[in-house]
Formats: sequence, C-alpha cells, structure tokens
Amino acid sequence: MVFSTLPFVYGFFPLVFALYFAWGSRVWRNAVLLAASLLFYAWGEPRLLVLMLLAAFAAYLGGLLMERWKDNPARRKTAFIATVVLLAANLFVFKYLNFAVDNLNLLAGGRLSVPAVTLPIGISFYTFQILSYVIDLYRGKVAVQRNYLYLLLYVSFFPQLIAGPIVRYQTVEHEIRARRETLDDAAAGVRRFIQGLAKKVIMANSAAALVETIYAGDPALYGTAMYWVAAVAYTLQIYFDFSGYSDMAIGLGRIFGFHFLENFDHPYAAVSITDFWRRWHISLSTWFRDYVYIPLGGNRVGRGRWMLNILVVWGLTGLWHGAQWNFLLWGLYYAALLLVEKLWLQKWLDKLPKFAGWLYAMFFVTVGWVLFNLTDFSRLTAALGQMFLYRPTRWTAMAAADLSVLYGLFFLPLGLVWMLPMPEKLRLSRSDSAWALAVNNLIHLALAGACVVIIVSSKYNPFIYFRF
Amino acid sequence: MRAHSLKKRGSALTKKVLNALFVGLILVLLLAGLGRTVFLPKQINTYENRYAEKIAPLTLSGWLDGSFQNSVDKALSDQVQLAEVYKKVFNRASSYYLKAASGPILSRCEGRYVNYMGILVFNRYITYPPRALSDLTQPLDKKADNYNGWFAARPDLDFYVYYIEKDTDINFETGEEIPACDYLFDRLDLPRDRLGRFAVDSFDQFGAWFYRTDHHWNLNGSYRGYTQLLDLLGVEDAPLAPAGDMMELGTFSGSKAVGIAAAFREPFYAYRFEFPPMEITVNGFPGDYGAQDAFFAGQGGAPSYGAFYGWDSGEVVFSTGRTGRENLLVLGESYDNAVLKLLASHFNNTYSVDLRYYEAYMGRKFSFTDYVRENDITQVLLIGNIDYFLMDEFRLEG
Repeated sequence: MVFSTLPFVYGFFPLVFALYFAWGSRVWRNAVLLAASLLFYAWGEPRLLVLMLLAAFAAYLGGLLMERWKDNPARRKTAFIATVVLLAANLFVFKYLNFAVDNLNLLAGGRLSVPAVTLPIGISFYTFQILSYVIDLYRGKVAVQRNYLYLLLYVSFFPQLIAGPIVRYQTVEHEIRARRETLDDAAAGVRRFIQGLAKKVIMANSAAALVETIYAGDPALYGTAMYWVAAVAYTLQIYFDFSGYSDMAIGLGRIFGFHFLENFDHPYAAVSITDFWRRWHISLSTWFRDYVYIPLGGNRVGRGRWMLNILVVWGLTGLWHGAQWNFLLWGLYYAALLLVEKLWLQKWLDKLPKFAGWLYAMFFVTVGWVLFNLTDFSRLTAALGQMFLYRPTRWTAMAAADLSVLYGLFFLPLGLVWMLPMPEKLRLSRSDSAWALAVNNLIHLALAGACVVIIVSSKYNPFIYFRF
Repeated sequence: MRAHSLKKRGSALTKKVLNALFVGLILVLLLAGLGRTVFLPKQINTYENRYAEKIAPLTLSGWLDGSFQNSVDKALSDQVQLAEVYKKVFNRASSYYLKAASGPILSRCEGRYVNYMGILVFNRYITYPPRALSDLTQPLDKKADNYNGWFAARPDLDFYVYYIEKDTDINFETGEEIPACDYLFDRLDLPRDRLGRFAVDSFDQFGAWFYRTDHHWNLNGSYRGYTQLLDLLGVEDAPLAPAGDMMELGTFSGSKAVGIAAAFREPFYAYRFEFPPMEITVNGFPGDYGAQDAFFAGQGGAPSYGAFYGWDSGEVVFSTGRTGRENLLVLGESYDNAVLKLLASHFNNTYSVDLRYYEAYMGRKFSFTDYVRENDITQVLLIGNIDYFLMDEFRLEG
C-alpha cells in the first residue's frame, strides 16, 4: 500500500488511528500496529509477506543466540556472522541474483539460468533495518529483543516499511515498549503527513509527468534546453517524492508516539557534494558510514586504502538502489566527486561565495540524477548527449506533440522555491500563539483538501523509492 | 505572575481544542468517506455517466491477484463524498489552465495536429486521429459479408449504403485520405448507384460541415447529406429548403470536449424547416423527435446536437400519411438523427432503428426479416460513419 492512495488515506489510516486509540494498554496498541503493518505489506505484496517474517525471525534467533553465547566470543561471532550472511544472502538472491547471473553469462559467455525473481517491496529498507539491529546487538549498543512480535513490529512498522527512512533499532528500542502519545504530537504528525502528501501529489507527480513526456517524446523535437528541463524536473521529482514519503513516515510515527530521525535537511541548499550527502537520505548515508565505512577503517588508514573505502562504500550505495549498472555508475560518480572535493576542491570552495558552491553542487547533483534515472544505457547516453552537445528545441512542434508539457512547466518554479528552506520569519510553526496554530491547521486542511481532489481525480501516482 | 500563568494555561487549552478539532475533523471526514463506500455506495457516477465502482467481494484469489485491492481503490474514487465535485474541479482547473497557457501555441500551430491532454486539436477543431486502413480491413470484410448475405437473401428490397466520411478518414496535416470507404464499397454486392458517400477531402470541407467540439456533422454538413440522400434514394421531390437564415441558439460544448471539461465551446447554429405534418413515435411512445420548434421558440434550454435534433433511440417512426410513397427503414446511428425528419418528409412511413438500443428500448431483439415484413418496408438505408461499419453491434441479424 502506498500512502498517497485512497485506500490508505480513506481506509487504512483512519481505521488504524481509531483502533489504536480505542485501546488503553500498550500491549494492545502494539498489537494493533503490528496487525496493521502486516496488512499494510500484504495489501501490495501478499505472497512475499512470509519472506519478511522469516528475515525478522532469523534476526530474532540470531539475537537470542548471540545473547546466549555472550560469554563465548567465538560462538557469539559465529552466530553474528551467520545471521548477517543469511540476511545479506536473502537480499542478494531477491535483488541481485538475476543481475549477477546475466552479467556473468555476458562476461563468460555462459548459459547459466536462474528463475526470474520478483523483487519484494521494501526489501532493501527492511533488510538494512534488521542488519542494524543485529550489528548493534553484536556491538553491545542495544539489548536483545526477546519478544519476536516486538522485533517484528520494529521491522514491519508500516510508516517506514517500504520506503524508509531506515530507522535503527536503537532509535525506537525504548519507544516500542514505553512511549507517550499526546494530542499535540498526533496533530503535529497529521500536519507533517499532509506536508509530505502535498509534496508527493502536487509536486512530485507533476514533475514526473513532465519528465516522462520529454524522455518519451521525439528527441528531434526536444533539444538541449528541454533535456535540461527534464533533468531539473527529475531532480525535483525525486526530492519531493522521497522527502515527501519520509515526511509522511515521520508524521505517522509521531502520531503513534514514535520519534524517527530526520531523513532530509534541505539537500538542494547544499553548497558542496559533501554537504549534499549530509542532507540527503541521511538514514542511508549514516547507515553506510557506521556499518561499512568505519568498519573498513574510514579515513584512519593510508590514502590509498581510504580512497578504496570511499569507492567501496559509494559503489554499494549505488547498488543498494537497484541491480543496474547505472546505479553503480551513479554511486561511483559520487565517490569521484567526493574524493576530488576532499583531496583538492573543498579548500577552493570554502573561499568562493556560497552561491557559487550551490551552483556547483546543484549542477553535479542534477547530472547525477540523470545517471540515476535512466537505467537503459542507450537512453542515458542519448540524454547526456542532448544535454551537453547543443541541439535546438523545436518549440512549436514540441508543444504541438504534447501540450501537457506546459502543465508540468507550471509547477517547476513552485518546486524550485519549495525545495529551499523557508525563511524563519515565515514559519507559522515557530510561533507559540493559538492564532498561528489555527492558521497553520487551516492551511493544512486546505492542503489536505487539494491533495484529496488530486488523488481522487488523477490516475498518475508513481513512487520512485517504492522499488528499492 | 498568576495572571500570566492563567493566560498561559488558557492558551494551552485553546491549542489543545484547536488540535483536537483539526485531528477530529480530518478523521470524521475520512471515516465518512469509507463508511459511504462500504455501506451506502451509490449506483451511478453521474459525472462520468457510468455505473459507479463498488468494492468487490473479498476472496483469497481476489486478494492474491490484487483485484480486490484495485476495486477498493476504484470504489473510493467514485464513492467518497464530493468525489464527482473533486473530479469536476480538477478537470476544469487543468483544462482551463492548459487552454490559457496554450492559446499562443495553438495560434502558431495552424495546419498541425496539437495533442491537447490526449486529444487532437487541428486549427482549433477537436479532431479524432486518422485511422490506419490496415486496422480496418478485417472488421470491414466481416461487415461486408454480413450485408452481402442480406442483399442476396432479400432481392425484393432496395438496399442503399451511405458512408459519412469525417476526421478519421483523412490526415489533415498531409492531406492523405484513408480509403476505408472505397475498401468497403469494393466489397459490397450493390450497384454503384446504391452507394453514397459524404466525402470529406480537405480540412476546409471538414471545418464547413462539422462542429468544432462535437463528433457530428453540423447544420451545413447534415443538410448536404440530406440532399445527397434524396438523390441516392431516388426521391424526385425538391429538398426542403431552410425557412430563412441559420440562427444561433446559444453555445455548447460537444462530445469531443467532454474529456477536457468543456474548455472549448462553440455557437450552436440551426436552420428552421417547415416540415409537413407527421405522426411520430419514439421508442413506441407518441411525441416529437428532437425539440426544434421549442428551441426556435426560445424554450429548448441548453442546445446540443441530441437535444435539438433528437437523442439516440431504439426506434423512431415517422408517418406522413402519404400512402403512395415508399416505406423507408433507416438503420443507422447518431449521425442520421439530424436528417431523419427531413428524409421522413418524402416518404409514407420512415422507420429509424439504432441497433445498439433497439432491444433495450423496445423489449425485444431486432429481427430484420420480421421488421421488414411487419412494416411493409420497401427501401433500406444503411447509414453511418466508419464506426458504424466497423462495430459488431450494427450487424444485421434475424
């Protein structure tokens, strides 16, 4: 189930809300959340629900064994490694096996064949969450969870289940058993959900339609200018899509008393690539930092090894997004940019005006999203060719081919403003007065109304991060 | 100090009430939508003129293949309170935005098809795209076989075929004509003088004879068709002449503009005719067909092709009492609505049957043999645009 659909908005959410708050006891409230989360997953992926249950069970069992052998480091390590390998193998089989076999066949001219495997929704997110529990447990940062249902609730909790953010067990360990729900938190959560919904259905969907129109159109009509428009539109689409989903997840969590960490911090206000990655998909980049980069030695190693670490981490970051070469390329593209910055460029950037740094960062981020978006290499090279080798746009013929391109163009300026941080003075939520709250609530009601009108009326509603 | 503390507590209480109202209102609205969908679903979606979607019965197979989930999605889209208003507002807003934004582009795109929210606009006329003959030959062959069977079986009847070309029969950009009519006529076992064509050979002709927003022929096109039909049917009378100049009866937005929330409108013009006295039954009930007199008297309401000339019906019978004349059976579709009264003026009895609706309105299946016998039919006119000759609904049976 996706948040921006009618079954969620009109069915799942109000029912779960009502059922949850109908119970007073923590145990029953957790039971409602667990049942709702499993239903949420089974709504779109009924057959592969069992895979998630098994993955959580493997972590549960591994955790119990590590706890049992806490005085026997060798056995404890064996249980830890076995659990991690099992979970990683599960992810590999369902996400990367077909890709690996295809490429092996291509390289070695073999005819190895494996059955086509359906990619389970959200497998990358829930596997990384489970791994964070197992690794943190091994490191002694969290206590073992002896109740499988509580662990399952952490893994399957519907707000973050299929598109993140990647919530670490550490963050919610305490809140699973003891949390406090308040009316103010619920209202703030609903407002945050509405903000995310608006980002998704108003901005991301409009930008997506524009991107599709341009990339699906006749390249002879859409010249360099329109291919840059498509790249900028996709830059907006992916931000509003993913950060909107994270807003909705954080808002939903807050309604039920959970406090997830922020996943975005106005990434398109970044003044360097390093800065961008401190602000974009924070839960993923910090996951790789803490569970891959630092264990590899981080930057406390020789220069060569450090560069290798960067390449490995960013290659994996790219591949995490999908079993396609373009994702790997996208990851390595950022590895290269970060290396250049860290080795040489950053000191120059620090001397330049911030605007120059912002332009530089946005240029490379926008080009990066083209690599990310176009999985077909012939389309990718054609698009990059259109962008960097000037070709005129046949404006009239282009508009005649599909006037709806104008519709998407209408939303671009709005998106460019919305993506930047709002000036502090304009933030209603900062004011402590009841008037500001009343106005804020009214604005959110209007925004919710607009979203419902669009969801009821329009059919186009893709979610990019749904596929990861 | 105490006053400040009280004020602070009052403000906190106000905020709690505001938040409770905010969350409560949203929850009530959402649950009301769900309740309506589950317990009190409506039957008809009046905005889209179809049955409203409902939630399918829950079965394991339906859940596993996702059809149950899809049905919930579709049902909510039709059933939640104000769903039709939402759709109307959304369509209007997007259509009018696009219309405003595209004005300068449309004016620069003369002589070129423009894709406007999935529909084609050519020189500010909403048009259907030209068809490819290769897609048409198979159904045309089938229909020709069906007709030829009847032509052979009923040599006692005079059959006529009249093909109305329109925007689908020509590519206005290139001028290329799609020879669907020739293809059909080459396969019909009728002499050439029994085959008539309303030919559209250029956009100028299309613009003169068809509406901008509706798929039907306009007053000039239908009148031209009427005069051609008199020639085809061998009627020696002079055609009825319009009593005066054409009149504007208001503005309308035709069927082609429905998908873009009527963002395009156009004037509705009509000719007044002095029809001879005739008795009319529509679907078995006596009454007028169309509302031409009412419109000229200023009492017709909002004009449209159907409202003015007459809506699609199962059977319409016109009797002039001119017993020396032939009895004509017109088997057609909505294009003939505009010419039925004119044609009927020249015959004894004129029977118009639309095979799509006959059974629903008349309560029995249409049997060509029985109908011809019961009504003493002497001439049979098969009339329509390309879709009439493609669709199985218009096969002659029985």
